[in-house]
Amino acid sequence: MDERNLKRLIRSTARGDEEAAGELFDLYHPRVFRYALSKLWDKTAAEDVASETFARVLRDLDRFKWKGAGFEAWLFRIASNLVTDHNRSKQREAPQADASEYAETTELRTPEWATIAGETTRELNGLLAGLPADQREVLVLRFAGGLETDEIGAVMDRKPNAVRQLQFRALEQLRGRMRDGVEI
Amino acid sequence: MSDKLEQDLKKMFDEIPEPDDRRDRAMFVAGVGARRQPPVWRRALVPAASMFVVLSALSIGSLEAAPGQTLYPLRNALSSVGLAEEPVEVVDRVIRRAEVSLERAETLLDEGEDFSGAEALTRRTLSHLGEASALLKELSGEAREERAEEIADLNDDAFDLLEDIDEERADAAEEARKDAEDSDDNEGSGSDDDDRGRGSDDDSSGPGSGSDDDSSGPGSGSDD
Repeated sequence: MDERNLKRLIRSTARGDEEAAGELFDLYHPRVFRYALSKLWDKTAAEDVASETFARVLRDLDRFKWKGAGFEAWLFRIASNLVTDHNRSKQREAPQADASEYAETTELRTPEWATIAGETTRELNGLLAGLPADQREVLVLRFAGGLETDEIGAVMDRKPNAVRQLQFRALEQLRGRMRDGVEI
Repeated sequence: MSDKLEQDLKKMFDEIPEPDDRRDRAMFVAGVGARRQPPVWRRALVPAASMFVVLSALSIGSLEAAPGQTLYPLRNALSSVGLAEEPVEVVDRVIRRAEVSLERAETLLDEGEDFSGAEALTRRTLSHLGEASALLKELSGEAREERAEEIADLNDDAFDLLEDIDEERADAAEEARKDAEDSDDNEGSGSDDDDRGRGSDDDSSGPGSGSDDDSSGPGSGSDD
């Protein structure tokens, strides 16, 4: 959807147009859910994050001002903050667990779609989990969320060039690991 | 152009099944619908209209408030911010009303048809002039003297007009009475005329019937 139509859709939703609200939800809810699932590896938690994201959109849409990277950056920033909150609360629940234990736990909750997917998907899924957080975030926002470089920069508080570099390094690492046949 | 790895990444995320989001969708849509508010102008209309009515009523009511009356301070306040007329403007406006009603009374009198209407308008003129006189105490100096003279002149004109109305009414009544007498006379002579008419009819009936007979003659003659 081009920017003009998206702005119109958002304005209509803010005015209380239910049809526009449904269209906006259908357009972005799957992407937010994919993003959250790719970060949390937990379908229920991802659904909660997606649900809460749209609850906050509903609450704050009147205050949203289209500036900079626009609506998608605002939306995924909300989702990103909720994912962070979720991870923090999980860590508080298990304060003794170190990072590796946490990673192992999350891997054990690899969702069904990844388990039953093809070999490449399973391999990629595992490789992504091994990337540094910021590189992984860029790839998830890019490929799960469908965001452009400037939008990713707005979500992550990074300049577009920094985002490009992170994406470049992330992809290089993945290629290298796949070439080397790293055990997942 | 994206390479195979990027395509695989995209494919991987695309394979994520969509969640059952019907409940969330319904809640979001309902939430948006519930936030719908009438347009700003409609939301503002009722309080704005109420405020307008109250302020208008107070303002109009206070425009001619005299010292000591409840709304006099409001009139002064409105006047100080340019929302109410100055006292001299109020007096002039009341004098204009008196002039207008006096002119309408004169017109009615000239038309000579509605003496009661002319009298009512003249009395309304006097009422306006009384109102203007009461407001004169708000004025001072030359402005007060000028308006006082104007009111006095109009007052004289109004009383003169009342006298004229009485005279005209009396004349009209006299004329009507004469007309009625003439009418009665006409009715009396009219009966004579009728008699004469009837007499002439009787007279003419002879020749008429005669002519009928005459005319019937040839007619019947020709029939023959």
